[in-house]
Amino acid sequence: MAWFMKLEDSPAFQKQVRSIEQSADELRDRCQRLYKGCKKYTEVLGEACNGDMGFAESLEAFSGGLDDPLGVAIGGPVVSKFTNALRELSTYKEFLRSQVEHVLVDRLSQFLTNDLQAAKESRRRFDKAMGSYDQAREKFSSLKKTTRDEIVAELEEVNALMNIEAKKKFEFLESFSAIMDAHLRYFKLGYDLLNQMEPFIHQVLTYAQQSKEQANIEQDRLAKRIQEFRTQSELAQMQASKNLAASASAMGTNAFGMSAYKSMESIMQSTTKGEVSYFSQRSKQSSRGIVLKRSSSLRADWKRRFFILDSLGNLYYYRNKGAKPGGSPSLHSANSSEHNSRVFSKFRSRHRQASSVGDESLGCNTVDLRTSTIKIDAEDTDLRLCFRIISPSKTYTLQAENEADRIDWMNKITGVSTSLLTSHLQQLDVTRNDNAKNKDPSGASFTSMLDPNGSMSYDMRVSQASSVPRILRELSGNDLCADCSASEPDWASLNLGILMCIECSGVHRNLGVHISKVRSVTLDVRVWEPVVLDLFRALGNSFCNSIWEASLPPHNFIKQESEDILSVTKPSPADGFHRKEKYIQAKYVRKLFINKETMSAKDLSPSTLWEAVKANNLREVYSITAASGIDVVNITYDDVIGCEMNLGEPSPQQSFHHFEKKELDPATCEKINSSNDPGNCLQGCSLLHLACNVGNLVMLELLLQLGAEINKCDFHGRTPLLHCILTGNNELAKHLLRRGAHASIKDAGGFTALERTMEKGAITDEELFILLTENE
Amino acid sequence: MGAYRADDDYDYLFKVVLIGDSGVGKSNLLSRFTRNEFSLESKSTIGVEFATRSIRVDDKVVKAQIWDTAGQERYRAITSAYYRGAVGALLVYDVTRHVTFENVERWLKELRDHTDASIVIMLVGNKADLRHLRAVSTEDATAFAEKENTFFMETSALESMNVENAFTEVLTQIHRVVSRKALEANDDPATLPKGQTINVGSKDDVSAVKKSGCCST
Repeated sequence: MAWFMKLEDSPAFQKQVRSIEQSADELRDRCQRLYKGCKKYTEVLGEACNGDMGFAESLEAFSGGLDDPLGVAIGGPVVSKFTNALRELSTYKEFLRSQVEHVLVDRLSQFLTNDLQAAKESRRRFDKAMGSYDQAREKFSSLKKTTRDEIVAELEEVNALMNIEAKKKFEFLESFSAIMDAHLRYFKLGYDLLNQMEPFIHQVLTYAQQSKEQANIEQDRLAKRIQEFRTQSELAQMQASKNLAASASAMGTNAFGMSAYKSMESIMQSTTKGEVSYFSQRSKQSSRGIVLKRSSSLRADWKRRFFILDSLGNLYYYRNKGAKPGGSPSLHSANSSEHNSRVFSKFRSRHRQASSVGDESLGCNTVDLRTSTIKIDAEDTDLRLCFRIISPSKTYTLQAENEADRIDWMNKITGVSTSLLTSHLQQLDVTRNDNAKNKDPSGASFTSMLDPNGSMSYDMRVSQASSVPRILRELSGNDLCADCSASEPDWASLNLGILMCIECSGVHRNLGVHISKVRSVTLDVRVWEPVVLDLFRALGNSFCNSIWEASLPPHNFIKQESEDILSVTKPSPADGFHRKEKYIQAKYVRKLFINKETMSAKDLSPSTLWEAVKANNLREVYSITAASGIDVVNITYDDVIGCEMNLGEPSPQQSFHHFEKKELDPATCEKINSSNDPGNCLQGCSLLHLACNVGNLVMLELLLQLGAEINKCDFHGRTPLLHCILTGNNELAKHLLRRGAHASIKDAGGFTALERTMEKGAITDEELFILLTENE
Repeated sequence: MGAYRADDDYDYLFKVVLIGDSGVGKSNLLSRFTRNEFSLESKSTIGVEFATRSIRVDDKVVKAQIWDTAGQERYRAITSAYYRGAVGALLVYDVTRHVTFENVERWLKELRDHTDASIVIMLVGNKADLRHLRAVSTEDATAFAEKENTFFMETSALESMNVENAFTEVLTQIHRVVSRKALEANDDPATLPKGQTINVGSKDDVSAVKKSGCCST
C-alpha cells in the first residue's frame, strides 16, 4: 500500500487525496450506469418470466385437462408435460432474476448510496473545516497552524476514500462472479430438465407421425364412402324418377341429405325384440334430412332444419346444421328450394300453446312420436304433399317434395312409433311379471332411453306405477289377499288399508264406499300419492287382519254344516264368490271377528281416540275406529270432555265450556288472543283439527280415509284448513285443499282461509296461493 | 294482540295490484304506503305479499288491499289468480333503467287481458330521486300514459315522494268508478231505494255477539 505513508498534511498527501477522489467520482458514474443496466436486465428477466408463465398457461388452456375430450384429442396429456417443463423453466428464470437483483442491484445501490456518499460527505466536511480554519488563521495568524478539527475531518475523508478503494478491488468481482454462477446454474438446471424431456419429445414426434398417417387413411376412406354414397343416391334418384316420372322430371339433380338406411320392417323387428343397446348403436338414425321449418314466431319465416328420425321414437331437429351444406339464403323461398333439391321437405309447426315457445332457444328439439299421431294434411291446398305430426303440445306440418318422399317419411314415422308403442307395452309386461328386484334396471333404462329430454312426467308415472306394487307388496302380510289369501293381490281398499285379490275387490265394491274404497294398485296411478303409501306402510294386511280377524277361529277349525259357522271360516282363493262375499260381509260390515273383549269400554272412549291422534298413533286410531262405528272419527273435543266428566274426572278446562252452540268470532276469544296458537281453544274441534294442530300428514290422511268431515267447523267456525293456515302449516293446508276442503268457508269472524292468509302478510307458497284462489 | 283483527270498519274494499319488472321497487312502494317503511336491502319477493291501508275518500272509508308479487317472470301459474278481482293497478317502472319502461307495454297487455275494462291503471316511474341516473324522461312517460289512457306519476319510495299521492289518486278514481256504477244501477227503479247505504264487508251482524265471549270469564 503506497498510499498515505504519512498522514500529515502535505502537498503530496493532498494530491493523493484529490486523485483518489477523482477516481471515486468516476467510479460512481460508472456504477450508476451499471446500476441502470442491471435494473433494466432484472426488469426484462421478470417480463420474460411472466411471458413464459403466460405461454405455459395458454398452452395448458389450449390442450385442456386430462378429462377434456377435445384436449385429449389434440394431445393434451403430452402437452401438459411440456407445459410443466416450461413452467419449471420460468421458475428458474424467476430465481435467476431474484439472484441478479439481490447480488448485483442491491449491492450496487448500497455502494452508491452508502460508501460513495460517505466519501462525498466527509469531503464536504473537510472543505468546511478548511474554510473555517483559513478564516481563523487570518484572524489569529500567530496561532498554531493545525487544528484538531481539520485533522479529524481530513482523516475521516481519507478513511472513506480508502474504503472505496478496497471495495473497488473485491466487491465488484465478488458480485460479478456470483451473477455468472447464477447464470450457470440457471442454464444447467434448464439443460437437465430438457435433457430429461428429450426421449419423451422423440416419442411424441413419432406418435404425431403415426396420427398423421392414420388421418390420411381415414380421409381416403371417407372420400371413398362419399363416392359410394353419391352413386347410391343417384341410383335411388333414377329409380324414383322412374316411378314418378312426371313429378320427378321437374326436379333438380343435385340431391343430398335424407336417405333411409333401413326398411321399416327391420326396425319393427329389432325394436320389438327389445334389444335396446344393440339398437341404439346400430340404427340411431333411421332417417335424416334437411328440412324447412317455419319458425314459431309470428313472422313465420322458413328456416332450414336438419332433422333425424331415430328408431327410439324421437324426431329431432337441430337448429344450426341445416345451414352447412348448400347454405344458400334463396332456399327460404319455397320455389327455389323445390327447384334445388327434391329431398327437401318443409317442416312447418303451428303452435297451439305458448308454453312451447322455449323450444326455439334450444339447439336440439325433440318431437315425441309416442304421443303423436300422423295425418295426411288435406286442409291446406297451398301446401301440397303435406302431412302433419300432431303431438300434445304442437302440431307440425311437414311438406315433402314429392309423393315418394312423403310416403317414405310417413311410413317410417308410423312404423317407428307403432313399434315403439308395442315394444313399450311388452317391456312393461315383462317388468310386471318379473320379480321385484331384477326388473328395475332394464325397465328404468328403457324408459329413460326412450325419451332423454321429452315427457318426464310420463316416465315418472311409469316408473312410479311399477314401484307402487313393489312397495305395497313388501309390507307385512301384503303378499296375500287380506280376505282369501290369494297370492299377488293387486287391488286395495284405501280406507281399510289392505290389499286383496280381484275377486274380493268385487265384493268390497258391493259393500259401498262407506265400508271400503276399492282402488287398483297398478291401474289407479294417481291414487298412490306418497302420503297414501305412507299410510299403507303404517298398516299392512297383517296388522289390519289382527284387528278384523282377532277372534277368527283358526283355519283347521272343524267345519260344521251350519250356515253361520261356515261363514266364520276364512275362504281360500279357490272358494266361490258367494262364500267370499259372506265372509267379507261378516268381517267388515257385521264386524263379527273383532275381539270385543280386548277392546274394553275404556279403549273405545272418545278420549282414548283423542289421545291416540294427539300421540300420532296411527294403528291405535285405526283399531278404535274399526271397533267403533264410522261416526267415531267425527267426535269433537266437547265429546271428549263430556266423556271425561262422565267418568268422574274433573277437568280444569271445563269452566269455559258452557255448551253454548253460538259461534263466536275468534277475535273475541280470550284463549286465542292470549297466544297466537289457534289450537289453544279446542272447543268444538274435531280429530281432524287436532291432527292439523299436531301437524301429521299421514294421520290427517288416515282420518280423511276413515270418513272424517273435511270441512267441519270448530266452535269459532274455523275449518281444519283454517287451523293449518293459522299455524302456517302449508303442506297440510295444500293436502286438505287437494282433498276437497272448501277455502270459501268463512269463520265466525267473517274471513275465509285466503283472507286469513292475507292477514299474515304474504303467501310464499305459490301452489298454496293457487289452490286457495281457485277454490274461492 | 292475536292474529285476528276486527277493528277496522270500512265502506269499500278495493283490491289493487302492483306490477312491473323485477327490481323497480314495487315492494318498497307497498311498504312505504302501508307501513311508512323503506329498505335499501330488500330481497326479491317470494310468492304473493299483501298489505292493507284504509284512507278516507269523499267521506267514505276506503280500504286498499294491495297485492304484490315478484316481477321476474311474466307468465306464471299464479297470474290469473293474481289479477282476479283487481279494480286498480300500479304499473311500476324504474326511471333509471329504460328496459323496465320498454316492458311496460307488455305488462299493460297482460293486465288488460286478465282484468275488467274499468280497472284504474296508474303508470308509476319510481326511483325519481336518482336524478343523475335518469334514463326515462318524464315527457316520454307522460306521452305513453296519455296514449294508453292511464294515469301517470313519478315517485320515490326512498324519499317518500308522491307515493301517498299515487295510491290516493288510484283509490279516488276507483271510488269514482264504483259510485258511478252504483248510480247507474240506482237509476233502475227495480233496485234498492235511494238513500240506503250498502255496506261492503260490514261487521254489523258480528258486533251483536261481540259482548259475550266464548271464554266467559
